[in-house]
Amino acid sequence: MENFKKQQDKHMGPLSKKTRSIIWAFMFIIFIIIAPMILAYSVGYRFNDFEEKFSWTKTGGVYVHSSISNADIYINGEYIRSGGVLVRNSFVQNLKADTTHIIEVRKDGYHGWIKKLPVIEGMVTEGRVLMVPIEIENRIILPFIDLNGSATTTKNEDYIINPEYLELEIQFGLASSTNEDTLTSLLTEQIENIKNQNILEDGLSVGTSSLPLIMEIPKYFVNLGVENPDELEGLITLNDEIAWLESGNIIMYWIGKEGEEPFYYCDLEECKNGFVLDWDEEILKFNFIPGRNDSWIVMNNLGLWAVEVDDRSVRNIQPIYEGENLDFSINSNNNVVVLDGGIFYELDF
Amino acid sequence: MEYKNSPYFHVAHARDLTGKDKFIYRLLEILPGFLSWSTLFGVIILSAIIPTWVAVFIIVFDLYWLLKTIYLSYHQYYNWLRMKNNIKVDWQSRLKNLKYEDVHHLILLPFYNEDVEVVEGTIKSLLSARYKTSKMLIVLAAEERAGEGAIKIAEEMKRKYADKFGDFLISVHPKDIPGEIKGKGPNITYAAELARVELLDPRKIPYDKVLVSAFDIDTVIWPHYFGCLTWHFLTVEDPLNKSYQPVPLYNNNIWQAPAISRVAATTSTFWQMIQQERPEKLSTFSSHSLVFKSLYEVGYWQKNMISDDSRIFWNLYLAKDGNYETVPLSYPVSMDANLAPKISITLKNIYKQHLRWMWGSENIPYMMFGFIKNKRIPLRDKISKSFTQVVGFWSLATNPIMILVLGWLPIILGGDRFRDSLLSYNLPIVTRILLTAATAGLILAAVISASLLPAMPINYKKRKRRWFVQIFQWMFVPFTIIAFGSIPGLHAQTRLMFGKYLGEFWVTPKHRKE
Repeated sequence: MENFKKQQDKHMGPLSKKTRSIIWAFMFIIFIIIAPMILAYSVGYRFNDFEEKFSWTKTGGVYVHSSISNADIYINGEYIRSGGVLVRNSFVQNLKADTTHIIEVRKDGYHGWIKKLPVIEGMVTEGRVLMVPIEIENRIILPFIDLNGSATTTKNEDYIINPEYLELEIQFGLASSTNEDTLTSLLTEQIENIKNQNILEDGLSVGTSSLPLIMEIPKYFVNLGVENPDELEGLITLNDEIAWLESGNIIMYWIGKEGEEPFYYCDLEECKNGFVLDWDEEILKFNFIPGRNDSWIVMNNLGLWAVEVDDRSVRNIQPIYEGENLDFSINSNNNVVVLDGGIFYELDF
Repeated sequence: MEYKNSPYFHVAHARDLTGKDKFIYRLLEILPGFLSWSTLFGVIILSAIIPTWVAVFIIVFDLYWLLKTIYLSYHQYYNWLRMKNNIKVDWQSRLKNLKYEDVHHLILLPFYNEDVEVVEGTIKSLLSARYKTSKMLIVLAAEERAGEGAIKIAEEMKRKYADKFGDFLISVHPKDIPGEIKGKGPNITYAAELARVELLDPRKIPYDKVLVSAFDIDTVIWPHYFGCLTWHFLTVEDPLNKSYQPVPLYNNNIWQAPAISRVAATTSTFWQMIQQERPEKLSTFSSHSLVFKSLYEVGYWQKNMISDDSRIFWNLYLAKDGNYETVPLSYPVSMDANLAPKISITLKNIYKQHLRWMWGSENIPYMMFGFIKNKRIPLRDKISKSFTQVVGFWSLATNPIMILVLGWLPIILGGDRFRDSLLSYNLPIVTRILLTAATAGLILAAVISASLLPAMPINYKKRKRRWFVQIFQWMFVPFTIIAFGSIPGLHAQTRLMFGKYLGEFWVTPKHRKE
């Protein structure tokens, strides 16, 4: 019997209920303590180190969208961090709520972006960086290319007309009828090729319609009080936003569903339905920066400017191309092309 | 009337009952699926309606998951220590001080169409056990429906090994018996009764001195299994009211099985290891042992349902008015991990095997219905057991999906107002931190699983690479717990909810590469 008891003593039994209860209670206590802390942190509660007194305060945050890699972020002049190479957006929290903060993004070789944004407790204010290179590289588009594809301004025996140049001439309204005919014939040839290809591949022909289209005025124009959209100068529709020029100013409206407006239409209380860019200097022409709906390329008598739509604080305005008597357009590569002194410059920014 | 003599003792599904009983049983069948689907749809719908509260719930739930991982990992760690200790113990010498000579082991080896190598491997492992083989009564339980081949294998095994054991019986379970499903339960029940008539009664062996081990045919026992089992049988209180559960290691072919199969199999082992440290939550699973007397009293394993291995526990629990427990042996038996000639078939087989395991949720209505009918079981025990089982199956089916998939829903469905909130921005950050911390449990998993591996076959090349994969395979866990945990769990519960009962025991094919 004694031996048996010794064996029982040596036997390693399952965890005792007491041990398990202690571990369980320990975990429960950790849960009870940590859960409220994590939740409080998640909704923005922090110890009040802003006023150096022992109390809780609720903070807010900002989220900066950026397409520029490795840019440095400063808030109220204090360096916060650098954005990444792949993940370029930045989320910064622990900001004192119910006040404005100066958010600044800098990178060598680019114009800085600075924005004074309100931070509301428990909320995140968004901003999108507009940073144009200080030195914008450009490529001259010449009228002729030789058989090797090199561009030239002069005709010679081996030249052919540069189709890119031809396209721009038409786009800018400079094309002579001869050039226009050349492009038309080039396009016609291409269409014929496609047609033939489709017939070969599918046994079907590409149909064309000669029926005139009867367009009704879209409802959003009616809602905006625009009776005749054809009379709007430089009208541009981009996704759910429309913009045009009126008396040298840009007018822009949201025409999508209410409640789905991009962040720059809204402060944390309400959303507006449009913007006006009203400059002393008359705006001659504008467009959206390719790939973005939150900033414009604006042309006036002094040059081309990148201008952000967001007017929650002073708009960031950065020079793209300075000069007089310019014109610009967006080419088929989705790049900005400037016409200066009869020469086309494709800008890379 | 004793509960075991009641008309609903061997009920398989609601369709076996009538009137009010059928209605209640049906509601209980619906319960697991209803809870799981309500949870998932609830999270989806509420993410759109009250995203803030759902986000709060998700963060709290993530923390709960982390702490639960730590809590259960400790159980797993402790069981690992205990199992390593039990493997080292010389159980035979421990038995010397006990009166164990009159204990017999009736070993049931049901098989269907497995290869002779698999059957022989199991029998050889019995022979190499450090226990008197004269005390082992082997029943090789073939199926008539498997054809002549199976019977030939059984006869060959008997010819080769019969004289090496106390006795060796072949049982051939007749096919197409009304009221029986095609499965293991009817086979081992037939084998156990045949053994009673042909082995126990003629030798006048008392039923309370016979330990029945119902092994899957790929079960390779470790040397001291019967010593460990006998010692526990002789030393626990009230041994007749106990089942004895080893830890199933799926490592017979672990070096041949693909990484996903290894992870899925070892995860099941880990769950069993954790349950071994929580005996009150442990029921019988897969290969297990119990006393013949208790088994005989309840008419052996049920023949009309799939999860016979765990149902026998609930049969006995209800028959003995709650006075029945499973004793964790913390001693391993080795079985096969899923392996097929092609990875696609292996994955399919893993799913089917897990669906069968998850079909164990059919025990919830049986158990709860029994609790309603059997007034002699203490209410506290009824509540505790019901809660454990219901929450267990609910967790398996829903928690991984909630944490790994649905946790992002408030951000997607919550609307602009919520998306602009700090909570919305912090939800993925906090979730990522908590779940990353929880994955630390995988390090323990990798260490424990590596320690339980058998030696790598000496002819294997690229040995370092194989070890590397054995460690880093645990990165598959997020996939396996959803693909082979939650989805088959939901599948099984949904079938049960709609009364589409699994009608046939799917036998996991046993395949071992040369």
